[in-house]
Amino acid sequence: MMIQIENMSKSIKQKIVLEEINLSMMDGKTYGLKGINGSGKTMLMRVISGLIYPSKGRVLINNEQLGKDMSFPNHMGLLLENPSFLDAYTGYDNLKILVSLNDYISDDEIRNALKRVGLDPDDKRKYRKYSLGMKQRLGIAAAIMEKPEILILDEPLNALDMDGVQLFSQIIREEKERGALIILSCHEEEKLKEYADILVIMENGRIMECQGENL
Amino acid sequence: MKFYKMLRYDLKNGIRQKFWIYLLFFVICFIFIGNFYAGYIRRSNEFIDETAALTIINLLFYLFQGKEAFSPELGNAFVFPVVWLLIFLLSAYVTLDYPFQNLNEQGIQVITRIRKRKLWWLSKCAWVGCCTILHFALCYLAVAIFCMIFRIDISFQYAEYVNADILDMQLEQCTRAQVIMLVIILPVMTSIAINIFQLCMGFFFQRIYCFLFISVVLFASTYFHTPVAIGNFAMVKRSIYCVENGMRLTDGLFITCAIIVIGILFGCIMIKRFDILKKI
Repeated sequence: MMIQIENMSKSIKQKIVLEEINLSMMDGKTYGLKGINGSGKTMLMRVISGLIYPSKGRVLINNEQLGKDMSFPNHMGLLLENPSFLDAYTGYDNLKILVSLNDYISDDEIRNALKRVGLDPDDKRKYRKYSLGMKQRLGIAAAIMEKPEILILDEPLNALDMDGVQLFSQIIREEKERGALIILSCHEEEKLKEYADILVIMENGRIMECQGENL
Repeated sequence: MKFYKMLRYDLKNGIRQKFWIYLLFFVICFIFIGNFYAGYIRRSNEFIDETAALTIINLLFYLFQGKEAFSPELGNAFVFPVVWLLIFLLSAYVTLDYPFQNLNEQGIQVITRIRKRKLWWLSKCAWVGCCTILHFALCYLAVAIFCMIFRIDISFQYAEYVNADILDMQLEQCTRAQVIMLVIILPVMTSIAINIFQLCMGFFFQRIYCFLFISVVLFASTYFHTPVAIGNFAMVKRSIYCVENGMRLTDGLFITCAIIVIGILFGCIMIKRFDILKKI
């Protein structure tokens, strides 16, 4: 699995949100996006996930161009901003609905994903009753449950308590060992350095620096 | 197969969201028909000599009569056809929110799993069609149940005196096919066309403005007697069987189908490069 971003720029309503992005990403590595609010981290994640397409340049995933050869990457897990699910269903049922679209995994694997993030698969509470932390955990579970090749996590530690953060750290280790290509952003610099093999520092929509493997 | 799964997801979640509006609409139709029937009963002495009885088709003519072409020079005050407007405005309203709102919520998880933008769009178009049909089906069901309760004749015949004296509508004798077109096919097709157009507008404008625009089109349809104001095709009083220069049924069918097809194709092109950003 390889992602190549070549001379990519993106403008929205005549405002440049990403400018001259050049980046190569390999599977088995974790890429941490670092930058202040508005630096372009989420936009870059949206481009890589296929939700928005570049105004200029291209994004190649295994030599296939996003927006031309494919609309979205194959086997991607995504957690963007505040995750949102269906209010009238439990956490388990919400994930089951998503899984039913492709039938990649079994009910046991859904239950396992919920346990990994510290949620009870048998919890009968509807999503509307969930706390912010529980909603975030469910979002992480949805991203990891189908064992994706690409994992994109935008601010995954939002609203997580200490237990949640520890569980998440464990999940990142396991996903790395599995060989997933992980792209995540986080405002806690220490945590970002702990998770990331490569730190991508962004400012005003540009990549200022990539700091190597040993952070 | 993926399209079927996508549509099933949309039908389940999109209809659930506005379930109470469908229910309310069913009750409103019942009340409208009840009000009309009460008026008919109050005037029943006037129709003692009439042999034809009130039928379900008369009730449907009442719901979909719309308004006769307005001529301001006659000194008449313009009065909006409230019943007709409410039917079509509610139809637009129930199909307004779900498609693009869902894309901001769990829909992102869905579209990235389906991995085909065009499939997402086609599913939403099918959802709009299905919801519009459901909306009108509830209307017809309310009328049918009312007829069964009050033992009103359920047939394709209709009492001409009811049209002439109560609805103030001089309708030619219509065949069964023409009646079906007037009260079922054209209202439904017109509403689907309007709702698909509203869906297409969602690519450019916020939902509230889309609905406002559609409302203006519907209100304009009641005022202007022209095929450009598409609502004219869904009004019995504006049809060629009611007025000399009225709307032809075949024109209505052609134009509504054309709007639906063009809308779907337009959306297929737009969705390819559409930026899926929060707060649409």
